[in-house]
Amino acid sequence: MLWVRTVFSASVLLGFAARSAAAADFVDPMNAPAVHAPAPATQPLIALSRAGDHMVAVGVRGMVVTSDASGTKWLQANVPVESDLVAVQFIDANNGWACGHNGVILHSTDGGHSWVRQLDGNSARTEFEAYYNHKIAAGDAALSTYLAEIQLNFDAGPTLPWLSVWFDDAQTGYVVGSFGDLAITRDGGKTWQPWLDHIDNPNFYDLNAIRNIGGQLYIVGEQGGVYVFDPAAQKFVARPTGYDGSLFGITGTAQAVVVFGMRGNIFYSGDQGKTWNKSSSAASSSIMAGAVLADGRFVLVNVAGDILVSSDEGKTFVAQPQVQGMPLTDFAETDAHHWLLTGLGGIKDVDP
Amino acid sequence: MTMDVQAIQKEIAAQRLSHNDFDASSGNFLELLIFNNRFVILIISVLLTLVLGYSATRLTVNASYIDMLPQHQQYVVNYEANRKALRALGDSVRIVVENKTGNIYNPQYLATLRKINDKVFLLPGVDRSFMKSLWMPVVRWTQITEQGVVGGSVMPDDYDGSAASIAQLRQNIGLAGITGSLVSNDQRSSIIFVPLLDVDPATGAPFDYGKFWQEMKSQVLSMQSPSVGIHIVGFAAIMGNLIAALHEILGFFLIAACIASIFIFAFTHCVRSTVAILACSFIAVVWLLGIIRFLGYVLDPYSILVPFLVFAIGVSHGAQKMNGIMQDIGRGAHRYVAARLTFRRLFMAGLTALIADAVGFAVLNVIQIEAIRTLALTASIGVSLLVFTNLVLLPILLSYVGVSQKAAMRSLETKQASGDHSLFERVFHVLEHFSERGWAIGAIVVALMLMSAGYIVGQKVQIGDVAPGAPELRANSIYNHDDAFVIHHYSLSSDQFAIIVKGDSSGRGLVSYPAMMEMDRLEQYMRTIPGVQTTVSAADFVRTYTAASFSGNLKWWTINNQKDVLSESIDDVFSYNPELMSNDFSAAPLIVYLSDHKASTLTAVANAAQNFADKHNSGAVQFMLAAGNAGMDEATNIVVKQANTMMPYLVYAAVIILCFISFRNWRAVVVAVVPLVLTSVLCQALMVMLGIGVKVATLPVIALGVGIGVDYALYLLSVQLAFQRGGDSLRVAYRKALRFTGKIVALVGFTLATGVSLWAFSPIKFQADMGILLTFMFLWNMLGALILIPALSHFLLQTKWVAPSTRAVVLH
Repeated sequence: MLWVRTVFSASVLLGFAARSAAAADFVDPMNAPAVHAPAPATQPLIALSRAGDHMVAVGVRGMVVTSDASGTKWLQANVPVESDLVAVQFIDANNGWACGHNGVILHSTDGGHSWVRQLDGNSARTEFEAYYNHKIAAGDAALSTYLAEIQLNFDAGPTLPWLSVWFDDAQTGYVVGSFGDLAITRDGGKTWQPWLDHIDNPNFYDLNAIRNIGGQLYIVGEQGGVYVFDPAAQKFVARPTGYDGSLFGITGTAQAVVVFGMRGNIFYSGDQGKTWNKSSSAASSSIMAGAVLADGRFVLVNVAGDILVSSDEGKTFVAQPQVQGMPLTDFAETDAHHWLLTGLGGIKDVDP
Repeated sequence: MTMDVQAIQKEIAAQRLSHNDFDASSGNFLELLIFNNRFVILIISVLLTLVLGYSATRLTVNASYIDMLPQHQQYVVNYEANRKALRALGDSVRIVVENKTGNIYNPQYLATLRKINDKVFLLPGVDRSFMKSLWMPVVRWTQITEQGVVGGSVMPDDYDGSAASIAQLRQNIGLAGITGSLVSNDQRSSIIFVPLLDVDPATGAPFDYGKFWQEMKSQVLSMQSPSVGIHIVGFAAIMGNLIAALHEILGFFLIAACIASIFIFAFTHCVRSTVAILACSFIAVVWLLGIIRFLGYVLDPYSILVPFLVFAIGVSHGAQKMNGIMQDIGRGAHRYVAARLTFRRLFMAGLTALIADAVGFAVLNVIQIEAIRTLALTASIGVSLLVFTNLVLLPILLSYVGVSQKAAMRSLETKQASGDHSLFERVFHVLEHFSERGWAIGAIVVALMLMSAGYIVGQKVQIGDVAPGAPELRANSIYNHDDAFVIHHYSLSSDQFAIIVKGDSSGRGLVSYPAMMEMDRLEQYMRTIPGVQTTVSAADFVRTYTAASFSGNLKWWTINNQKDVLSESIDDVFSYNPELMSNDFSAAPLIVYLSDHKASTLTAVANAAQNFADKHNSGAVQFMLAAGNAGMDEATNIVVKQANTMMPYLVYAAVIILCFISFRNWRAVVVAVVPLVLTSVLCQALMVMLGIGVKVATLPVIALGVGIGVDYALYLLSVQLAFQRGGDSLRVAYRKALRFTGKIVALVGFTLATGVSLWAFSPIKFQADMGILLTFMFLWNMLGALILIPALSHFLLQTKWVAPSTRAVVLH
């Protein structure tokens, strides 16, 4: 039975050769599961969200960490992509969405422990093109501008990120991204439709953050742009600050909101964005995120590691004396004695 | 080759002892050739000494880093092949200028820094375009503004020492993000980073470390004052310190020579013969140095030790020759006749011993490290020269000058006086007992216990060096203090393990998404390995520069798979950190900063990196090990580990063969070799106890210790066997052998040990370690020979077992 052995060993050899060749091929991060790190809470993290009784943070290389109820122990989640994740939002203890580079949108139904992919740059292009083509074919020729922008943005491949995600409820959610990318889902993320035609952003400026504050949806972005959602028109209406730099985020209450961004610039509005005024702050580094504390104070964090606090609804900010030793990316208050910070050095728990 | 005492005495009695009556045509061809042309040989020797002496004066000392590395090891091959891409790890120095009385924001401090900066800038060999300091315009701050990225030199263009311009400087330093790298974390010192050129572009001459260090000392270190502290670290500083140390250790040679002459004089009580021995040994050293120069070598930290060894070996063998001549003169022979007769009976014995030494050196060639091979070569040359200077020239010299008659008579008296109660006599009396059953068992039991204990302790021997700082220099050296200063005040580890990254063969091969992503993955993986503090690579910086081009938004702290975005970020990396990428973007280092350079840390890091490379190497990107000082340490450790397992077998195989040729008796071989094995085992235990790791420098120790150590057995056992074959009992034969060679064994032991023990005071740590271990081996081998040879002989070499059938072979 010599031939059996020969065929067997030949197939083993071929199998081995095929395997090693495959191993040498580059695996795109959007097709590789995130690598488990020995100390996940020290990895660069970009965004933070409360999920019922615990916290979930996301960051670079597909990193997602979940805390226990006490917020002291952090576990790395199973994530199907190694792409950099930059935003996360949970609507309750179980259901949440995360998004990031390569156009990735992920969904979790178990409080952030495991994730499935809902969209990425490849599927987005196909679906968005089909969506606009279908509408154009149906006679809405004005949409061809947006189709062209979609094609331009995705021509280089599935590279551009979704920079922010917001779900109003388990069904309706939005994602925004660079070069004016905007999409909506009405089925909890199962399908996404491009919504570039639902915002006053003719130059397709970067859209950096989306958030619902006091029942009002806001988007902020490049060139001092703020866009306020008008439910009647089903459109984000431009409410520019007049600032010529990028805004990275927004926080506040139904009465007062602040938008913030490059070089420490902060603007406040007491009329839902109709008018903006510059807030006073001595810190000059770019502000990445902010939140409103239970006691009503506004808190912002910047890339120099400063924590800026306002006790007058955002008109003036004062930096905490203690500077954190890393660029900060997000902030959440867990209780009066615990402020959670994320940054390029991981998670930090400070007692204010 | 064995000395047969009765034959000697008969010969002396038979020969007419006066010069005129001596049969000048007796003796073999070699003897005739030498002694019938002794004047010509003398003249030739004088001429050779003049020529080679002149050559020796032009010999320089230098230290070559690459010569101290295993050049055929794959890591070193890869490093050499990619040196251009590894500027960050190449030859450079960091000059730390410290304000001892305040911080750096001080006009006097900044003026001093500028002065030093400008002096260094003009030094030959400095790669000026990559030099960095607060005073170099290439060090820039950048800021992302609404209009884009703006920037400027950290030092304000209009700096005038005013409070305003210093405030501006302080702000720029903050924006530039150089705290921890160019400015210390406590803001009390700053660094001048000085990259060096491998070869002078004008002359093509290789970089001269010795000269550079002289310039550093005279132009930079001289600027130190109560308020200005200067610390210089980096590869060129290590080399400079090594070279300075070499000059220092050369001075030790004179001390070694003085001590050796005291030993010889104490032994001979004769000025003439002492001078003759020293002169011949010294001539051997002069010729050796001259030949080294002729061959185009320089003295490096290893080969500089050879003159010590050669001199010590020369003195030992010279003393042996002189001892024979002295005794013959004492018996009434003319100095010429005495010299000839001594030559006749000792030339072969001396030759065998020197061959044994040479074999020890030759074995060193299995270590594929250029400096060790140079050591082996120069030592072999030195020993070959000794064959001429001390076995040929010395008898000729003594045949002219003779020895003092009083000393000659004395040499005979001590030999013959049985009732003498000199120190030697009392020691010999004790040693004789070891040939008896009770003492022999005691000695062997103690030896076995020592061997077991030594073996157990020796198992814990470390590979490589474990002390922080530059392992070449002592922990308390100025350099290592400076190194510690930098580690404490800056965010830089001095243990760098670099992985070489190569893109595909197209131009700008690393400007590719797969290449950058795989680098990022490797960095991420390496950061999880214990002992890794952090990593730095172009991929790391690509994230930062990508975010910068998106308004500094940290959500863009990413590696983007869009050609224009990626390409622009990589261009930024190159223009701000040119040391992280080759000029053609085809190769780059990925630097892993380690917490220490323990062998276990290095091996774990190397294995992890290789493991990643095996899985991820592709057409787009290749990862190769290794560069950086820690990479080279690991390369060396790998080679040392291999050589260390092979070396003892080779050394012992060589020694066993040599002993067998000498003795033609396997029992005698066992008796000769077992004491050496005990010494080797104890030496390993000593290394553990003194915290000396197995490294390049300790490999020669076993070869030298065993190769030279066997000399004792060759002297002692050959005489003992000769007497036994003459019919003496073991005890009588050993007693006679002790009287005949015991003093020489002691003399050899102490001159050799003196020669090497001085190395222990060397500022170069590995020389000190070698000195300590070799001193131990030379002395312990001597003790082992004197005690264990009779003890083992009791069980293995009783006269009845020394087969008379081999006698005929031995006597001829």
